[in-house]
Amino acid sequence: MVQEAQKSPLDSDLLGPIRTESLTLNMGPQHPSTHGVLRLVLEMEGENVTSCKPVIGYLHTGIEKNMEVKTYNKALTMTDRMDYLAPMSNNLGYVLAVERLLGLEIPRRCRWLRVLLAELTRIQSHLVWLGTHGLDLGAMTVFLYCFREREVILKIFEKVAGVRMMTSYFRVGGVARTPYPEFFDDCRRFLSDFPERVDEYEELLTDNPIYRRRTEGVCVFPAERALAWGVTGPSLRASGVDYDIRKKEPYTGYEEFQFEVPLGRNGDVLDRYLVRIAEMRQSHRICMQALEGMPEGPLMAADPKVVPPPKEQLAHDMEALIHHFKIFTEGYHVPAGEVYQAIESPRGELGYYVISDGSPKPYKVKVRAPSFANLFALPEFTRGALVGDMVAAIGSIDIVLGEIDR
Amino acid sequence: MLAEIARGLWLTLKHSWRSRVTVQYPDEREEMPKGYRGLHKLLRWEDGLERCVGCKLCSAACPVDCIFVESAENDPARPTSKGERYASVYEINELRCIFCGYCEEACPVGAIVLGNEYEFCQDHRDKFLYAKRDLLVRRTEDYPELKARYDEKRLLTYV
Amino acid sequence: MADQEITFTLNGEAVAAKKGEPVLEAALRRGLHIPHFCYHSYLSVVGQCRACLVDVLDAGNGKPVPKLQPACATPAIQGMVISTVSPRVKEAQEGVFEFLLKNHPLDCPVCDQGGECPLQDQTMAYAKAVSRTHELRRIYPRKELSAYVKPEMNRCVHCTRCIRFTHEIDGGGEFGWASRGDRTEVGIFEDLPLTSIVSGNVIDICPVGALTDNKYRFTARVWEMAHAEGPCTLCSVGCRQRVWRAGDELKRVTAGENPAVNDAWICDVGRYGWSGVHAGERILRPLIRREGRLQPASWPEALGHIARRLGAILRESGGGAVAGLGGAWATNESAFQFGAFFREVLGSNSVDCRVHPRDLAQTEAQLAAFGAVGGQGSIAGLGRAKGILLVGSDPFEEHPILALQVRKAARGGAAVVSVHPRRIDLRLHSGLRHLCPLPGEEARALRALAKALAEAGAAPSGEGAEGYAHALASADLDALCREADIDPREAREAARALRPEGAEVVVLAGPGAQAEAAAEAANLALLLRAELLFASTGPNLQGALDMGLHPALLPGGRPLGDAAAREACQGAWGGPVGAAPGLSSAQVWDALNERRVRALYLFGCDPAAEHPEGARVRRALEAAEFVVLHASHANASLDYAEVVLPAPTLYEEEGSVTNLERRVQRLRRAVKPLGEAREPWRAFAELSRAMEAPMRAHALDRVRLQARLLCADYAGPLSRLPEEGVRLARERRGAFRAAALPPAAPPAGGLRLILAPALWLSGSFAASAVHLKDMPRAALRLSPPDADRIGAGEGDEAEVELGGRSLRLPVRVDASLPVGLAQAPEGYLAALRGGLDAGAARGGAAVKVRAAAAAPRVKVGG
Repeated sequence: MVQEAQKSPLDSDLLGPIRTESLTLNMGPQHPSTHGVLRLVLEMEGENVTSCKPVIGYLHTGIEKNMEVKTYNKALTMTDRMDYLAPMSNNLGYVLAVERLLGLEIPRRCRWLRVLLAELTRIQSHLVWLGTHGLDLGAMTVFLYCFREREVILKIFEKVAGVRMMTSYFRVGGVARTPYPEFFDDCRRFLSDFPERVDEYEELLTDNPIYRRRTEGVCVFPAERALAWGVTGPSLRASGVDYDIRKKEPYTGYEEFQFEVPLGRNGDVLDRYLVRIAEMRQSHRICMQALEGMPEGPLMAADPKVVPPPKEQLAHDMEALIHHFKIFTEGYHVPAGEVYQAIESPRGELGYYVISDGSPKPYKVKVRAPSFANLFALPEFTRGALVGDMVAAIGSIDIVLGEIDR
Repeated sequence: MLAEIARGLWLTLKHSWRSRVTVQYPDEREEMPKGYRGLHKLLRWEDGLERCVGCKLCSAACPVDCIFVESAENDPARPTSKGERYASVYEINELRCIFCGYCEEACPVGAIVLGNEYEFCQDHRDKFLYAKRDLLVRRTEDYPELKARYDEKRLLTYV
Repeated sequence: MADQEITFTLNGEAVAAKKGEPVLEAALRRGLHIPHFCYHSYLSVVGQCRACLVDVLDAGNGKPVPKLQPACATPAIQGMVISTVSPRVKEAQEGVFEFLLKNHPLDCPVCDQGGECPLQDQTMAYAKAVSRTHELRRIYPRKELSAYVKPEMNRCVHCTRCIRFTHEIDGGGEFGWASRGDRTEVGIFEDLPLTSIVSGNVIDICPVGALTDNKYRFTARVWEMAHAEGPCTLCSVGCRQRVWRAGDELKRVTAGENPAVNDAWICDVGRYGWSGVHAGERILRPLIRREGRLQPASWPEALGHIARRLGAILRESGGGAVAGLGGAWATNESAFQFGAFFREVLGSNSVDCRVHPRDLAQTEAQLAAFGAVGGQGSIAGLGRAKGILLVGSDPFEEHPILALQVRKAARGGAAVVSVHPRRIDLRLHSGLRHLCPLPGEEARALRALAKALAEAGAAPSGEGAEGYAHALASADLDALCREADIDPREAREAARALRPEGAEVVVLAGPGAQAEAAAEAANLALLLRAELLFASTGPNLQGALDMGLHPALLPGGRPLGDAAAREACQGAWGGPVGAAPGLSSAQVWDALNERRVRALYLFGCDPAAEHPEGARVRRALEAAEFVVLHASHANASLDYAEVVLPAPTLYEEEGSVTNLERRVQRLRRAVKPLGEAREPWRAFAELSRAMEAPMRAHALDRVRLQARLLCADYAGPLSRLPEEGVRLARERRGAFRAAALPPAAPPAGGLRLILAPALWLSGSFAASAVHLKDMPRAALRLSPPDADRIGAGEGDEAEVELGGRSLRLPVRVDASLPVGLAQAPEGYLAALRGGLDAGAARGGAAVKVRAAAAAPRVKVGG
């Protein structure tokens, strides 16, 4: 495309009009800073981005469609694989939706345990974000420290669920297995010095002039435009909009916890960074409350038609054996109906819209993925940005492509 | 301005006195937690008979259909498992497996468990099709961490 | 009165019901589930499992019933208000299930019923989830029942469905119960083994894993399988069945429900015959005879070979030199295409689906009497008839589900008269009258019966009535009876029994209704104004005839002489159709010997084995210049074939089939064709292309389109078939044919042998089915005096000498046979490839039988 460049003070009449060409630049799908297989088609005027078109689908796995042919229990394993940086949050949104359809009453201890693990998930997800975001901008050290702490959380996950990432730990009616005996001690040990760690990250970045130069005023999301685009999560709160589902529509017992919702002012990359740092501190606060006040009592919902009996019971109890057999083969029948359950995932509003036709398999599961909405707000807010800032901009909205493409 | 950068460098420097958190794999290995979801194993009873009765609950519970079981009737003279039924074919496609552990949860007799092994590389896709002889342990006692999963006396058995 | 529609209220929902029908039945039909075990809609109501207890809040008279009522035994009354969710119903349900599960073994993981078990499903829906039992469970000693039914009586919940099935439906009464209370045990009597040919149904109706399928044992789980529902294609009844497959393998067959045909029952041949699909005898790829041996070839090679050979014969001798036989084991579509291929591509009208002479006789008798084949009676009519005349039919051995229908009618009070050389067993205690003529004299016995009916006041009316009335008037009942060797008193009694006032009568003609007997059966049906059913052995003989596999009839049954019909065929096929009738299956053999026919195309048939005059047929096949065998299984005619084409079985093909009552049913493919077998209609289209005269119908919907155009009454069914099929009934009007009976044969001395088909032994398909090997083995049946005379006991081997050849068969002593008569299964003898000319002679062939020396004892029977 050939067009006449605008006249700038530099243009001299002597030189006459300069004819320049706009450049189309493919950023991704294999690019370290696109955080997955994202492709951005950038139209460039010199260094400036005039248009940015995200191209998605490189990681499409048909998860939503696949869930329709699996029982409710089997479909759960697919949720881990959407936002693989926050598996527990994804499990949580799904099981809450199904539990609402079933009308299950979840014991308080289980609800608190879920809060604890969901907040640990938030911390470890933010740690990955912080590490990679720092790396994108050249701050190598932050990455190492963040992953060091994340490793501790993943170790806890591994011990409690059996694997580090694809936990499938939250189940309809409770959790997959009782937490191991030292679970709470491990959490306490990690949380005890975590605030110091956050201080360290901040020491490296918050006041670092290089970091600030690259983030301040970059890719600003004005509050009302961000709302219009459906941006949620820390990316929205950095623009000063007080919208956190944990407060607005509390689920799984968040109403019982004291915490604040950190807000930004400018909506630039720096504010998004600051909000996430503050969120880690708030998550720490919630975790500590959960550890202190962890109620005693049963962990699993008292509905034997949904929750399989303990394995030892099969040896002598015919009713239990039948229930075990049917739950694992046919699955449980979920009353017909539809439900939308949103949770505050580390990335924003993660919603599960589940329709049941009364059979043991969901008729339809639609996922409202926060990364998807956040990503498509990007083109508007990066119009005119420098191409170098694109890296900071993409990093700042914290997307996971698995969740976008599903 | 330089002060902030220097503070950061000081922090990094401080870390060089701290103890190391990395593990020199493969020379050093971390101990796998109890209940780790690694490579499958088929267990036996103490008397050497196979625990698996070929009920196919594992393959029914598997979200990715990676387990294939064929059952047959025990020869009363030389039984393979307790009771009438046993698995004549038990195959797991470990490439397809997502290690969710549903098979272990579904197994009514505590036969299939996800073990501690996580290093199982092969040079051909076909070799990831683990047959019964690859999965079945010779003696459950050789795997104390797997034996500890269930109290054998409290599991469902057949005569 | 009984059909009066009423409404009652169940849990606040209005339910429509017929007055007096069980509340449970109406609720289930409405989709409202009430737990139940003992109730089964085709069995009597006993109300003993107590799982279906409901609260009758208003019995239709404004008053509640104080105690809970079993919904299965509570008749629906207008205005009833019933609850199945009230607290005391819930409590009762939980109590019932707790008792049922108290003694139930912890077998789900090792039980085949797991996953399709009403006990499991209803426990999930209605029972508590935790047991309070600590007592030991009751254990019965382990027993075996039969090769097909595997008992595990510890799992039994005492619903007695199996007991009621064997007493009411099957009639054998093998099952019963012993002991009392907690020790109650259901089982079979020790001296009465479970050998019934419909025994497999107890597997389907057992609501727990107490009776499971021995052949299916541990082979698959229900959730691993998919099923295709459609008609069974092993005999001409066409019972609805479910064929289950896992991957590319058939796993089992279970009964489907079709109230118009088989209620909810299938016979064991249908249940286990599928094993023939995976038999080693399957032809899996085309074969060409080279240097005297059949050698594998590709489809193009084989088709090219056929095209070359047929092309040369056509050029030299014209279309008349090629004849085609078969089609009764094919879908309507393939049969239609077979006919079209012969008439249009080869220009030959010598195409016939009736290979056995009795099929020829029966269809020709129907054509003579009614101008068309089939459609004169219905299976449901058989089940509700008030009088039944069986002609040469032993339904339990030939068409077991028809036997159940006859028994159903008999339970409803029908009089049943059997005209058969043997005293056939219908497991009826009363109501069955036997007229046992000498073999070959069935027609005379029927004429005697007609005479007795005329004496009792039945008057023929309609076309040909005068001639028939005259024939009856001039006949002498005593002389007829003497010649047929029946008692005139019994004939008169049978006639009286068959003529209740204004009641429906059905005449069922079986394989024994040969030659003149078939025509006499038609006359009797007209005289009694009865429904008439001819039960053939070929599963789709009716459909094949309707599709035009007859030397003088075009598709739709239109005569070849009708120029308009030929023009319609030309319009559909594109080529002209010759007006000269072709050779029927009876004429083909001589024509082959005389070289008037040079090539023979055998489509899914085996004349070398099926035809009773085996030696004559084999001579003709040897004389044939070129024989093509197009079949699913290797059979006796394979030896004469130059080219062999593989065909799928009817389990592997999509299409439609027509049963003996002319019900068109949709056949669904249960499993993909094995090996290189491809659908016959496609093979014919490809063969026509190889012959450079491509047929227009090269896709299934094209074949159907042509068939709809040419077969008027198939137009609807072939475009959209309802699940239970469509019965293409014909108007019951025909003409009497008073043919003179052949002179009575002089009394024959010595032992005579008759051949009768047994469903599980006849044909190459049944013979190859491994699961059918446990059915009663082929045996020579002898009356007790005859067995004593030759000194052979049950199970001993006997040496049979027939037409100069001899073979060995185990002996079965059968009291139903008269002295001097022996019977052997039809398909089996022929399968010995002996080329026996048995059954050609009226009255059976003379045989010499002696006990074989030092024969190993062979167990006969289940």
